[in-house]
Amino acid sequence: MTTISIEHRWLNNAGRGYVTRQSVPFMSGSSLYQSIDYARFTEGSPMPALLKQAKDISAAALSFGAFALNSSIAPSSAATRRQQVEALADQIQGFLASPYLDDCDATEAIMWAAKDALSFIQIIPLQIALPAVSYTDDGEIVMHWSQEGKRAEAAFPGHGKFGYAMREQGGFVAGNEEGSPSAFPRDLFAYLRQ
Amino acid sequence: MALVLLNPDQWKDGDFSSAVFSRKRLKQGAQSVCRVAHSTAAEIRRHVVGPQIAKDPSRTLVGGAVAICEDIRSITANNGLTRLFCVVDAPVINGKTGDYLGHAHLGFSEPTNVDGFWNLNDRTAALAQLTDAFRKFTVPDSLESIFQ
Repeated sequence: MTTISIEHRWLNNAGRGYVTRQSVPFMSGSSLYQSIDYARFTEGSPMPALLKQAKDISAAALSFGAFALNSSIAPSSAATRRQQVEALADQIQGFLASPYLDDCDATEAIMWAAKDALSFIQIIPLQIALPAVSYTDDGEIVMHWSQEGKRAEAAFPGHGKFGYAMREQGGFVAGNEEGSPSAFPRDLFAYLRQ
Repeated sequence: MALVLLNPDQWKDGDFSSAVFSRKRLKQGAQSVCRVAHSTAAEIRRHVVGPQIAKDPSRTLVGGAVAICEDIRSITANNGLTRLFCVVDAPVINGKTGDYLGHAHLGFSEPTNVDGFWNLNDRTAALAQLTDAFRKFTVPDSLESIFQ
């Protein structure tokens, strides 16, 4: 079972406080996020109705007291990542109905490109941030990473393969491996993980 | 040369769209760009921005991005010799007159049209490099600043 770590910072009126941490089983993606957001209430504010109704673990954690000022999920938890991947998948699927596609060829091409891109985002290692995604009007899907001065791109034309490149020493350098949607290239992993 | 940036086609979420250049149009040698020295902001609004927004009113003008032609022409294949892109003046297209004088076309170069030329990784690097060439100056810049 997937577990997540929740950290609560408790403060009293004088601003003094302590931290509690809980490892709890992941139960429901959407209700979890909802409750974490609602944990950001301040002393004296009414408890939101949705929180009262929530049946998931973060509501249970809040029953410690009413002074929680901040609450956060540990980054890169498998549960959080799963939600991010689902959101990215929704975005990619949304491209299929885009009014900006050129023609019927583009409409067909992007279906195959989306199939590859959807497979690929499932296998992006947890240590690597999820990319931004976009598409060309002729039906190719492009992923883009931009972080701490590093940039990388991966292009999915829908042939069951993808191309990728990384920016090094002022220019983009082609990847060393043949990109397959079922395997994250080792050189891209090493580059983005640094 | 300048590229007009419309949201969401060429510009999205505060940066170039990853898909700023249409692969098909590059292959056809028909990716429209504008010669800065031979265009005016009014012409660009009339011949580029207006028609694109008329086709789809959800598009919005963001501004433009400028690249040096030489930078684009210097993007080469791994052999360091074969130029990958070319820029051709295109004030008249398919016999249609009335287009603006500074209209030019950007495209993949002739040698790249040979079957098997492109390795997918090389092509991805080349296109990313092409986008990079348009990051040299302020991006996005207003049309009035670019076409003075």
